[in-house]
Amino acid sequence: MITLKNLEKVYQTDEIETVALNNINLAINKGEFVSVMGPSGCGKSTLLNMMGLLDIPTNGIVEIDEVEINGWKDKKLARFRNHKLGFIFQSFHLINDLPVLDNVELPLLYRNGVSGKERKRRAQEALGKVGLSARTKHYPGQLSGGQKQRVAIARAIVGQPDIILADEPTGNLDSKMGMEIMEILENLNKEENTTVIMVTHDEKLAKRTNRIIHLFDGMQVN
Amino acid sequence: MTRYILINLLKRKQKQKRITLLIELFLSFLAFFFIFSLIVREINNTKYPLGFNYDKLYSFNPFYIGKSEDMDANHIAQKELISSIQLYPGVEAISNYNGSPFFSKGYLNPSQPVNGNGISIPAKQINLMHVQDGFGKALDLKFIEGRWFTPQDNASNIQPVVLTQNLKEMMFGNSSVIGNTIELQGEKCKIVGVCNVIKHKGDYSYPEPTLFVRIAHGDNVQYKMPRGGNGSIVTSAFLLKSQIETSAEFESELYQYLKTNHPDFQVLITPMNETRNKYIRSTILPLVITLLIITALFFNVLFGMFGVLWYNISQRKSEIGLRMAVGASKTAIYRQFITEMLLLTTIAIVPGIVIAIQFPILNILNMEPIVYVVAIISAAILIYSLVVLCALMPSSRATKIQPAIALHEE
Ligand SMILES: Nc1ncnc2c1ncn2[C@@H]1O[C@H](COP(=O)(O)OP(=O)(O)O)[C@@H](O)[C@H]1O
Ligand SMILES: [Mg+2]
Repeated sequence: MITLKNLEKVYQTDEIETVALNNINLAINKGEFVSVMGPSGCGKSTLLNMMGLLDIPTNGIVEIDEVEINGWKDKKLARFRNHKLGFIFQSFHLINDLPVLDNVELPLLYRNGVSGKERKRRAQEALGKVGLSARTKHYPGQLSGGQKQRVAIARAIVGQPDIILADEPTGNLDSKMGMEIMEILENLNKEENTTVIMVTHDEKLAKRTNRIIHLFDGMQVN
Repeated sequence: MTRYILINLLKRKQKQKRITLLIELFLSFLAFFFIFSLIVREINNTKYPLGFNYDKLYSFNPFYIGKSEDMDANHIAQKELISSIQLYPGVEAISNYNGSPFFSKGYLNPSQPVNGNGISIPAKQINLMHVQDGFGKALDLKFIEGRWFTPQDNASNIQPVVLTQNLKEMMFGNSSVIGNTIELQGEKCKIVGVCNVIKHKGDYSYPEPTLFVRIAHGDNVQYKMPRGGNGSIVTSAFLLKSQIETSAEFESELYQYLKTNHPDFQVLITPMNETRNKYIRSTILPLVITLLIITALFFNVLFGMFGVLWYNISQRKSEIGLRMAVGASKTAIYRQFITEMLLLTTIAIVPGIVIAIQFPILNILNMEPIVYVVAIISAAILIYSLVVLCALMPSSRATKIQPAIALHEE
């Protein structure tokens, strides 16, 4: 499903070069639930951004569904992200000025041929899956951390993507709420066969996944 | 998409931020409208020529200092003085003049609206000049149709009047008007001529629609002066036109002549040239200062608006990152931000336009409607362009970086 070949990412800031990823070779299969672990600053987020096409690698190749992504134009990338990928971030990244339902429908807004009515219906449905049907008119500021993350999950799944990329989705939550989020992701993986790649610091959660990728200093370790 | 953006715009929380922006845009529009009105008015005024020749003109003010207390005797003496001046060598024309002074502010309006052709022109829009037959020649007025007053008008049983072209067009449009009547202070007047527009208040003034009313006196005059008009009274203000350009020599010789031949009068003769020079000196400086203040105000409003807009959009970088992550293309982001800002601007300036339109409708500042129309359009174009610029620049910066980076900017 996702293949990374000799992937390298170097950040260049004011004469300092940071090698965030160094010669990563990785393949993730369809329907897998993979976790990524490693100390802070080792390149986990960078790795997810590469897989999510949110940033351009310095060297190497990203393939999704055996299609090489390198050099794609903005429109094509945007379309691809919209249809194939769903993102969940540690800091939720909800638009605080907008009610929950509007946050969730966002990916569908950038998809051709989905009417306003249809957007609302599907957003409502996605919110149902994360147990937030009753909170559609609330604003993010009125929700708990766990609820915010469930809104973010609803937004990630509303477009029925093949792949969910979750960067420390439980990082800002207590362990009970974290477990709830984990269960939602597991259900998605099992019931809808969605591929899930999750960065986590939590050993307990990581152990429940199919496979753990360990990163250290931008390199993969086993 | 537009509908979505509009609904979203109204639904978004932090209304206060948007209301601030709306107020800023609304006030900026009014400020720009005001600034442009003034500038367009100045430019528009320069479009018209002065409309008369001042090179050979003098203001001529005789004051009676004789012994007689009898008003009639005064008038008779003044009449003799004027007849004598008409015969003085080098004098081309002389006319009693009762109106607002040349090259100066001040007004003389009728006391009631002037009616004609079913149209009523508000009194304050009309400049009234009571003049004698020599006035047309003194000013070198050009005639679009008809003629200036002549002594034959004494025989008319209706007060004859001459209109400037702009006044005629306000009342009669493009049709021919000689022989038509208008009503001035309850009295019918007959139009005998239409002449060129004049800017008698000076080069930088607006050519006021002007109505010339003939002053006539004597037993052989058939018509009655309009009620409330003071044209029947001979005042001590005259315009004198010499055959050659104004000169100190002519002036002093005339003084000398009057001193010997009309000792009952003290006379003040002022070349129009001098009056005009004074006017220009006293107008240019305030004009330049006003222009500087306006320029400062303009940039103040401009930067204020730019700042508020810029702040509003740059604050939303991480939102832009997120929208790109969920599948918005750069084009979609631009389109959204621009549409959003245009809608917001429209909401803000519609009330502004409604207010601005009252100015020509109610004729608040006494300018030509075209000035306001140009000012409204320019102000709107300026605001819309600024808004588009302010929407484009921060969103362009945000879309230039990768979404991963944008997401981390707050
Ligand atoms: N935009 C950036 N500019 C410069 N350096 C960056 C940037 N993003 C990440 N880095 C650096 O790259 C390294 C890996 O970062 P990251 O992938 O965020 O680590 P992790 O998610 O594992 O904590 C770190 O040293 C970090 O400082
Ligand atoms: Mg990270």
